[in-house]
Amino acid sequence: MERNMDIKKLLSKHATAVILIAMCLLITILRPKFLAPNNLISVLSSACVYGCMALGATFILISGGIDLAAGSEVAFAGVAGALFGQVAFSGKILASLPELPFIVPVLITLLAGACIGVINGLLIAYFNTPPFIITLGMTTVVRGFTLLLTGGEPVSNLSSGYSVLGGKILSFIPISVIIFIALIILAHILLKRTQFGYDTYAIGSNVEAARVSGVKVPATLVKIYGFAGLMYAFAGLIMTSRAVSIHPGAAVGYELTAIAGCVIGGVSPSGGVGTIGNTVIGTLVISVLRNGLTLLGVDSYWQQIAEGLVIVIAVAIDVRRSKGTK
Amino acid sequence: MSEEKYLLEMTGITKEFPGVKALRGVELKVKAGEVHGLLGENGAGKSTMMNCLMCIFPPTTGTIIFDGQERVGHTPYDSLNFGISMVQQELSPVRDRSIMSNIWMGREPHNKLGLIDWKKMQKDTEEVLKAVELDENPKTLMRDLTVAKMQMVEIARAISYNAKLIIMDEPSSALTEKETQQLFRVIRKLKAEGRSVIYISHKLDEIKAITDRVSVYRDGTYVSSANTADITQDQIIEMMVGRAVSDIFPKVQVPIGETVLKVENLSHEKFFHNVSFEVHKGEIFGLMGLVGAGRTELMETIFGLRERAGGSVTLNGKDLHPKSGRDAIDAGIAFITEDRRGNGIFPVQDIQYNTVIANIQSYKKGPLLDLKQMEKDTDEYIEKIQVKTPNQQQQIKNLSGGNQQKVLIGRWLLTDPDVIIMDEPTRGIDVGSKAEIHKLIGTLVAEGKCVIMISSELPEVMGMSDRIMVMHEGTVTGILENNDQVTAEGLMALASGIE
Amino acid sequence: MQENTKGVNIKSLFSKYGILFMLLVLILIMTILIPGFISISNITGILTQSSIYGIMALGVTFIIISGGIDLSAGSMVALVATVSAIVGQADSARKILSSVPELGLWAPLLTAIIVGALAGGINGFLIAKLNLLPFIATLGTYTIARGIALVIAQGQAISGLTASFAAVGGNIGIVPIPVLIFVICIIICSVLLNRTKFGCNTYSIGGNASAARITGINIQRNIIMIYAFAGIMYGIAAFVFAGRVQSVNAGAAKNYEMTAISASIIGGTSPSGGKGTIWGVVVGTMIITVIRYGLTLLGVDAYWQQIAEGAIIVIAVILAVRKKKA
Repeated sequence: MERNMDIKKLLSKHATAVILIAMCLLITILRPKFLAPNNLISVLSSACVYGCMALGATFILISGGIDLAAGSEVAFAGVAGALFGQVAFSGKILASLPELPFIVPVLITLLAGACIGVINGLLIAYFNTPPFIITLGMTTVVRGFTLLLTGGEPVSNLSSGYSVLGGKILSFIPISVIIFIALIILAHILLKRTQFGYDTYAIGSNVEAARVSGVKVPATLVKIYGFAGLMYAFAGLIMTSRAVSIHPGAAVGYELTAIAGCVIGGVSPSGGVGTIGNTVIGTLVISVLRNGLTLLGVDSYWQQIAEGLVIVIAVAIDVRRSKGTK
Repeated sequence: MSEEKYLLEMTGITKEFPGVKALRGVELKVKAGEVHGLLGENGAGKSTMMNCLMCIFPPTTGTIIFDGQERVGHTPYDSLNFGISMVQQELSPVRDRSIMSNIWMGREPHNKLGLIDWKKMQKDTEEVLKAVELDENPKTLMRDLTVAKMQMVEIARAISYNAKLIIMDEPSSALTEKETQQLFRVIRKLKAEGRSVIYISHKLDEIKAITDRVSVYRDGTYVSSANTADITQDQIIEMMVGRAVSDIFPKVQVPIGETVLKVENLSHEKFFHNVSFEVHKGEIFGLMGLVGAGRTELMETIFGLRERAGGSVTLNGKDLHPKSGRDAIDAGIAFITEDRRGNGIFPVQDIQYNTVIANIQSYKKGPLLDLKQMEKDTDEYIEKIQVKTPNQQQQIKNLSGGNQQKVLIGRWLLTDPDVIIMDEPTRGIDVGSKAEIHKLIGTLVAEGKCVIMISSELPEVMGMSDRIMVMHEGTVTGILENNDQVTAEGLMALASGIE
Repeated sequence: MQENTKGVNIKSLFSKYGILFMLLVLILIMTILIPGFISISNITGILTQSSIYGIMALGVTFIIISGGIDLSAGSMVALVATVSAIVGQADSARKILSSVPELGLWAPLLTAIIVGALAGGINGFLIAKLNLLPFIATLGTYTIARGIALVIAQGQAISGLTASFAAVGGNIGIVPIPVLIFVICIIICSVLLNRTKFGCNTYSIGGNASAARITGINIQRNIIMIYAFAGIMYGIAAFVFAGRVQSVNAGAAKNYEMTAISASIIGGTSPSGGKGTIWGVVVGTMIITVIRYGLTLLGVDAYWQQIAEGAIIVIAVILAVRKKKA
């Protein structure tokens, strides 16, 4: 009897993980090639871009905020870096200059992402504005700048560093997957083992209590959005290096996929609740779903409907569950 | 006398919340056309009783007979239909809407086409406003009104339901003397129309002036009722306090040391003026006052959550002017707030999190936090403060109020403060936990800390404190050595601003 | 003393009609910069351009006033436009029964209204009955509605509309029909918001939900009605859209919800609910269009236009928050 209860509890606590496993089983039964190493790698690798974004979005959601500008930030960071990573870049300035080392575009990418994030954070923390609307405005602004930087043209002809980064190790594991996994570990440690992570939870679960307990709320918010910007920049970097070019119109609407990943996994959009584990599982649900439906030959339109349904159902279940514990 | 017809008879009302028995077999009988005063200290059960009557939550047991019928409602809307309306203690206006929209919210007059009849609404509003003697344009936005005028609008709304019984919960807390007289004229008019009013107030002079009868509650039980004319203010206070306080709270004798915290002429723009006091090592400094006395605001200002208008604070001889909670914590002040849900607990986080959060900086080991040490410390405090929980991974929202409070005390002890401010440390907590928390406060001062304890419960203040400061409407009306000469009646008189 | 009150009056007048001044100043600047800016063709052009997302903004305003948000508006417009265009195809009836004559204009219009109301009602149901946060629920339906539109259209553009349907994009005299429909919608929304119980309840729920509950307002039912009504507005916008473009693509109207929300917020609707006016939204819509139209006439780069638009949202929100504080 008691054991039954325990199992029930366990299932409800890890509902999304159970759904994920069930999905994998079902797809394997219908299409055994799902389990082929190549396919599994491609599931992971397709999760990288919005997975990195979701890592950043997780911090923002836990703090009780939202970031609609994520997709634009990915493109901006990617473009900003790529401009410095063009083979002919240094030649444009001074013909005799050698090609910039690859670390320069990488750093520029990360810096650009973090900067936009910090601007978001400053607007939200010090002007006390609702994150939803501010980041809605920033979406347009950032996208506009991205288009402006490139004149609307894709940035290509990138240095060899990009193609290396977009490639595979041992001709098997994509480097982007390794970056993603490293970032997962980093984000997890930040969230669970640093003061920054603790402060993030504090702001999302009770901002007034956070203030009394000595959390520096505005400064922490800036850090949260800045960190998220950094994660988006990694997404931009991965995106650019895979195609060895980046389009200024890239990643439109990706923020919603990233947020969906977090929320499906159990990160609460009302703040205070969630782990990196949740986000990773939620992100995998989306990419397994996409992969599975493709293997099954379902057309992409139906895939989109299925994805939306999964969001609604997963969150509805989550609402029921948290109601139950209250 | 026993044949007397009652408009409202609430009998045997019990209300249990998880972990707390808020009401134990309480009764309330109100006659038609009378103004009935409801008295008791904070936590006596007045508001819980009124919430049962307004169907905000149902009583656990007991019956409510109103207007000759037994009534069971499920939403406040049901009570309105029974003929009961209420002026809430906490204002809840829709600020961006006009006075008239607020008064007729949910029941706007409309014509046959279903279109709202703004003209009729305005005319009706003018009438109701006239009845409460409020000279304002019905179209004025709520946010443009003073708090007092907003309160009068709320009263106008409660009247506009044409209810047979109107509950007024601390209606005068935001009113000036002139407006209070205005309110009294309104109440007398209602009475003349044969309607009844339940009047809840801490201000005894008002109770004497306006009510016909009073009922007194204490600790969730019914004490008695009487005709207002037959009793004196002193008798009312006695009924409210009514018990030998010295046996309940063990007062520890601790040698009092040097001055730790010194507050001089501290003022706030709005809430308090020229407050000065000193707190010493090993001392429990009681702070007493009624609703609106400015006690919480005073402490929030010392702690750096509000901006001061003037004055100074010194801690251990050093000037203290914190800009944020962090500064105050670093200086050695702890603040256990009154509103546990509002700014105390992080409800969805676990006990460990709630314990360590204010002291999180001290767990830094390089960039990372020392989780083991956090776990060890939490275990130590769970043990020391006797938090009843299976483990420290429990979400704090699942604990009883008393245990939540203990976790909060643990949180602040971990910061190793010199001064601990406790705002209503035992509000809404069951008797058992209360005693434990009192014992804990005793141990703290024995360890050389000093405690500032805000409390509205006289027995608590008188039983625990070494000295008692009393505030009334933002000014200090007295700082007393707590000895045999201090009486509950004397404190109440100071708090009410009578003396 | 008298001067003093006069000063206050001007100040309060300005704070109340600030956005109207903003629009006038904008028009003034454009008139100075662009000779012949005020011409009949420009005015009708601006009004026509405003009409589609203006109608959407009207609907979304009800939602924002009630304290909600709707990300699905653009997808819904695409869905409804697709469905109503199919019904409004010249050969739509003949597909089913060859003897039936061409359907009148009422058919696509009615379809648009009904499908819009249903789709909006589903949003409302998810929010009111299943307790999903508006942001998440409409994020789900955002994906689903677009997916359904794609499935229905099967990637094809739907064209060959009846002559009467195509005429919706035309003029009566010099008045463009989309503008006429926009004006009718403005009047309907004005009456609904200001003169009916439904409108009052919308304000009450957004202004103070617990106070609204105490006065006996059925919050769940009203929320469903609010989202369904917004759906009807999206339906009408979709109808106009289909009539104008005459060839509906399921990928249409992407991101229109952002423009509609922005117009509403610039027009003074409080993103936290309880506040907003119809005339304000109309002015907000005009501000966005005048900027777009004017900058295009000035030959300003489209990217700068985008940046300007986003910046205006950010500034409008910061000002709104400031005003609230004061």
